Amino acid sequence: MWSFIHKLGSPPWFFRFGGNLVRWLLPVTLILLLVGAFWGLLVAPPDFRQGNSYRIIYIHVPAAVVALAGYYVMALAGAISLIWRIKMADIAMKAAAPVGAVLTGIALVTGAIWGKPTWGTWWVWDARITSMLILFFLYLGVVALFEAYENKAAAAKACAVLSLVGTVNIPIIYKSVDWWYSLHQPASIKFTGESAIDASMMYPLLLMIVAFYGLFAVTVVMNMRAELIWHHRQSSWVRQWAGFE
Amino acid sequence: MPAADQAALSLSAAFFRQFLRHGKTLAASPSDLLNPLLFFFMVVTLFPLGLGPDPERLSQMAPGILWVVALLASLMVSGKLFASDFEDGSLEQLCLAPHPLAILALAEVFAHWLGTGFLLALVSPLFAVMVGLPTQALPVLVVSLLLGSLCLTLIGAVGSALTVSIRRGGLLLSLIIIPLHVPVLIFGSSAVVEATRDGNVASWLALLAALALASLALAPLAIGAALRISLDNG
Amino acid sequence: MYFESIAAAMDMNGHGVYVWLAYAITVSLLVWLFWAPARQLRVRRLWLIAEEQRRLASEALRSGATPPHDHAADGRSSSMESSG
Repeated sequence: MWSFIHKLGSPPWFFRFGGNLVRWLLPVTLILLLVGAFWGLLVAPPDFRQGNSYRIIYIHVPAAVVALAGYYVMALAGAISLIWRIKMADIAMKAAAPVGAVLTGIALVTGAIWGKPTWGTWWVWDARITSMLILFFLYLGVVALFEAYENKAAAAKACAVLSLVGTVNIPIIYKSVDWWYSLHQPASIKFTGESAIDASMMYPLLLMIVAFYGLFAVTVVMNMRAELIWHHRQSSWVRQWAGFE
Repeated sequence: MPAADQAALSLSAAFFRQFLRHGKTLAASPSDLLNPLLFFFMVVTLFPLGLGPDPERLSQMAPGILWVVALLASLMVSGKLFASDFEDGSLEQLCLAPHPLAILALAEVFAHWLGTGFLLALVSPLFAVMVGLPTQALPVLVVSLLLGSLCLTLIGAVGSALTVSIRRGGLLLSLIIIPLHVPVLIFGSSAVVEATRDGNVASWLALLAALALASLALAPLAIGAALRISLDNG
Repeated sequence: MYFESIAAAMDMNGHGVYVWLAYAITVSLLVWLFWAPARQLRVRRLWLIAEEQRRLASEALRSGATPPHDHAADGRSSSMESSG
C-alpha cells in the first residue's frame, strides 16, 4: 500500500501507470456513458410531471455531482502539495481545475436548457443553479490565478491555498444560498418535490454518475501525463518515451 | 516562565507596532480613508438613476443596494492592503521576523478594517436614508455592516495576499474573492431585509458573527501562507 | 425501449429540442475534454523530436564534421548550411 503511494509520486512510474490506466478506463467510461445515455434518453419512462424534458437529469446531475467532488479532489491535492511538498500533487491540482470547470459549465448549461420547458425561462435563480454558478466562479478563479503567476511552482501553491479556502467556504456558500432562496421564495415556482425517484429512472442515473466519475479520472490523468512530459522534458525517461536514447 | 512571558509580550508588542505602522500610513493619506466612502456615496446615487426615483421600490431594494455597494467598496480597497508593503520590501522583513507572519498580517488587516469597513459601517445610515431604508432597520444595517465588513476585509486580505505579486491583479482579485463573499452578502442583506419586516433579525446576525469569528481564526493562516508564496513569485 | 419510432424519440412530445440540444452540447464539451490532452501529448512529443534533431544538427555543425545524413533533418538547417 505505502509503496504504491510512494510510486505515485515518481513521474516516470506515474506516467506509465497513467497510460495503462487510461488504456482500460477510457473504453470502460465511454461504454458506460453510451449505455447510460441510451438508457436515459430512450429506455427510461418519462416523468409524470415533467414529461420527457427530465431526461436532461442524466447529464445535469452527474455533471453537478462530479464537479463538486472534483473541487474537493483539487483541494485535497492542494493540501497534499502544501503539506508534503509533493510535485505530483501540484500537477494533479492543475490538471483537475479545467476539467472541473468544464463539468460545472455542463451542469449550468444543461440546467438552463432544462429550465426552459420546465419553468418557461432559460434562467431561474434557483438555489441549486445559483450554487453551481458560484462553484463555476471558484473554478475560474483557480484557473485564472494559476495563469497569472509567472513562477509556476508558486502558482501551484497559491492555487492550493485558494482551493483550500474555497473548500472551507463551499458548505457555507451552499447553505447560505439555500437559506437565501427560502427567504425570498418566489410564489410562482414550485419545483422539485424531492419525491422518491422510481428505480427505472434511478438505475441509469447511477450509471451516469459512475460514468462521469470515470470521465473525470480519465481526463485528469490524461492532463497530468501531458503536463508531466512537459515538466520533465529534459529527463532521460521522457527522451526514451519520445524515441531517442 | 519569564521567557515565555517575554515572548508573549513581544508578540503583542509586535502586533501593536504593526497595527500602528499601518494605521499611520492610512492616516497620512486621508484620501485612502475618504475614497471608499466617496465611492459608496456615488454608487448609491447611481441606483435611483438606474432604477427610477419611486421611493417605494427603492426602499424595498435598499438592503440589497447598500450591501452590494458596501461589498464593492471593500473589494475596491482590499487590493491595496499589502501592495505598499510588497513594493517597499517590508513584507520580506515581516517574513523574517521571529513572530508568526499570520499574527503580524492580522494587525495590518485590523488597521485596514478600522480605516475602511468600520468607518463605512458607521456612516452607512446617511446613505441608507438616501435610498429610503426604513428607519427601524438602521441599527441592524450598522451592526450587520460592522460584522460583515470584518469578514469581507479578512477574506479580501486572503485574495490580496494571493495576488499582490501580480501586476494588474485587480480584476483577478475580484474573480477569486467575489464567490467567497457570497455568504457574507446573503447573511448581511437578509438581516437588513428581516429588519424592515420586523422579522427574525437575530439569527442572521448570529450567522454573520459566526462567520466573522471563523474568518478571524482561519483567514490569518491563509494570509500568512499566501504572503510567503507571493514573495516566492515576485 | 420507451419510444415507438425514431421520430417520436426525436420529438419527445415537444421537449426533444431541449433534450437533444443539452446532450449535443454536453457531448461536444466532453469530446473536447478527451481530445485536448491527447492532442497536447502528441504535439509535445513532436516538439521534443524536432528539438532533438535541431540539437543533433547544431552539434554536428559545431564539431566541424559533415552534417549527418539524416533524412529527417528539416529544411531550415539545410538552408542555413547553404547560406553559411
